[in-house]
Amino acid sequence: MAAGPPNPLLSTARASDTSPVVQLHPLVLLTITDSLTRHTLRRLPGPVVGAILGQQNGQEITMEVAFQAKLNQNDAGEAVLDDVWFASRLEQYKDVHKVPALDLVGWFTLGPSTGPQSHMLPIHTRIQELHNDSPILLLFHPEDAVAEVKAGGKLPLTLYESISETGPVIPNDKAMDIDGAPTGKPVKFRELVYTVETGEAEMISVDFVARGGGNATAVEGTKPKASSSKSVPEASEDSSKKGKGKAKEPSKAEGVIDESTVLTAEDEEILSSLIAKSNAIKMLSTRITLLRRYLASLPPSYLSDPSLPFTNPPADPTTALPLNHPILRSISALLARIPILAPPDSAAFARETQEEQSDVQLVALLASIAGSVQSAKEVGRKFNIVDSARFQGKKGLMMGMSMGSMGMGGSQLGLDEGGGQYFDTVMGGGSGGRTLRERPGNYH
Amino acid sequence: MEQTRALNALEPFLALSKSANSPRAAADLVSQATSAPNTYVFAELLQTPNMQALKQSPEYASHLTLLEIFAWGTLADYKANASLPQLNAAQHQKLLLLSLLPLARSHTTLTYAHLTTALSLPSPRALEELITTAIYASLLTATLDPAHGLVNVTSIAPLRDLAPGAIPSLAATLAAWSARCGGALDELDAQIAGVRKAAVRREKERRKRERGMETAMGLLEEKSAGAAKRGEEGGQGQGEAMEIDQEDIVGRFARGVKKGGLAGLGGRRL
Repeated sequence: MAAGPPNPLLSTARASDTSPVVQLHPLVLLTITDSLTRHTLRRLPGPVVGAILGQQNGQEITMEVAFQAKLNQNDAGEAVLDDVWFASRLEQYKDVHKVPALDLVGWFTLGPSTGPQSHMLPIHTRIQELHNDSPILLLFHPEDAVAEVKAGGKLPLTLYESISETGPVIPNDKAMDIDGAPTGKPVKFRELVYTVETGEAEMISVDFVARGGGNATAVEGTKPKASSSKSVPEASEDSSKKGKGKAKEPSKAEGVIDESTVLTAEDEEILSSLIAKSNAIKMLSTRITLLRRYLASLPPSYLSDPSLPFTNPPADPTTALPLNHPILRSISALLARIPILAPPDSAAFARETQEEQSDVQLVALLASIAGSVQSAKEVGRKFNIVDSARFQGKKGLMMGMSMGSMGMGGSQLGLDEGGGQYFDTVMGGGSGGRTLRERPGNYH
Repeated sequence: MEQTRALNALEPFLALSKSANSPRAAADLVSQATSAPNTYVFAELLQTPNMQALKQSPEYASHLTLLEIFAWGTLADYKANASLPQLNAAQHQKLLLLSLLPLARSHTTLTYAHLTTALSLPSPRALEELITTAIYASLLTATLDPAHGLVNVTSIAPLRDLAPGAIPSLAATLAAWSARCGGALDELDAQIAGVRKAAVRREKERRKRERGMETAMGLLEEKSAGAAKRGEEGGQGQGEAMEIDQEDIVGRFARGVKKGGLAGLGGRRL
């Protein structure tokens, strides 16, 4: 598996049919990275250790929540769990997650990708004794996480189940001591397969994290422009004060409108969803490229040329890539799946898509009609105000000053109604007129 | 997962193949391996020297062909070659299951009618049983649609070996797929650029409008200031007031009217 001396704690046995299948939820990953970050930033001593809770259903184990555990040092200087604290915290978590009931399924710690190390054993056996017969160890590899993410990179973690193996006992193992470890058999770890699963509630938080990333990429690169764009509104204000003669000046400044400042919330949403899609396709694309490169780098064999003899080509040290049948079979099965992805009843599918599409467009159309009606109404209202003002201007002459006593209150009413009481404003004098003048600006 | 299980099932036969030196023993091993439950992949066994040695034996060469058919062939291939050894019940069932996998690669072949003829099954009932078995053996993820006589396959387990010369076609499919990804990416980029452009255009228009408004407002303010001055001096408004109302009115009223006119100007620009 790993280069160098094999890890004595790793079992060499192949994964068997009875191995559990683990479904890992992103919340656990977030908790682990969170506790790791806190641990590093606070420069806390000791290892990062935590418990993972989930459900066990036959061979399927889910890992749904995690929390960091408090550690103590025992007499031998080994880090062990604070049992009392751990039990109470575990109870609290179980109380919170009643439906569906979660239980301790494993624990996490940091470690190298080569496998578990002996200092992890005391905690592991302790959990085994107290809480769960076969806890799963989630080993997070911080050095892999920091390293450059490779194309098609896996998550920097490995899951191990523990088994008691009756194999050749390592001579200096504790199990040889007569009054040594309570278990007679050495604990070994076996790697487990896992899948990442997401619940609906988690989707929201993961989406939030992903959206943050999406926005960060969207704004990136436009920041230097931000300072210049701020001056644009000021410039246009200045020029408008100067009057028509200089009105053309700011059109040059318009060239530097900063995209990030003019995007509306809707635009941001569309952009972030588009960027998320584009990132996903990019990821898919890199993986396809990886598969293509793999196929291209295979040595010539009966698979690429039927005339070649049906034998495994001799391992050529220069190409170093033997035919790996499991991988080839997986590629073949993956590609076989492409044509059947579309539903068989394509006519019905197309109709349904069209229906959906037209529904959405209809709603959009209705929204835009409503918007147009609204603006038409606004125009009508404003015109009414102006028109009645002109009319009343003439009328006011005939009616005389007697109406003027109604004053400012009337002027507000007249504006809101958009009706024929506008003459009050005219009569109201200077301040009334000002209210009017500001009005158009407010409609924006 | 399925592959691991199939490989684990094949493991004992790989071990046995080392000792199967005689063609007879090797041929026997072929029958055993193909009849065993859970063995669905055979490329590893096929590549062992003892199996390839069967080619030299005229008596047992057909067993090698049989193993090849189990690795990547179908029932039709088996029927096309009459000289092949007889199949026992377990082998026949397994070959049926294995033949189902290549047939599950296109919707056109996934009809009841096509599948029953291709697998020479007596009735749709037998086909349904076969597919159910395949689903339980995790060879397929599928649902049956008896009303339309269709099988909806969503995924196929990686349990078939590649036929000789299969890699170029795989590479071509991958190339097409990656070209499609590229196309989709370009479209998405164009859409992103479009949204940005639209936002900038909207902002430009908004600023233009605003500026026009302010210019007009400023202009009228100046005029009205002038009018007010005139009104104070002359007692009677003229000029602009006349233009708007075409009526000789008292300057005091004219000022208010003009202000109304301002608002109207702004309003129309909306």
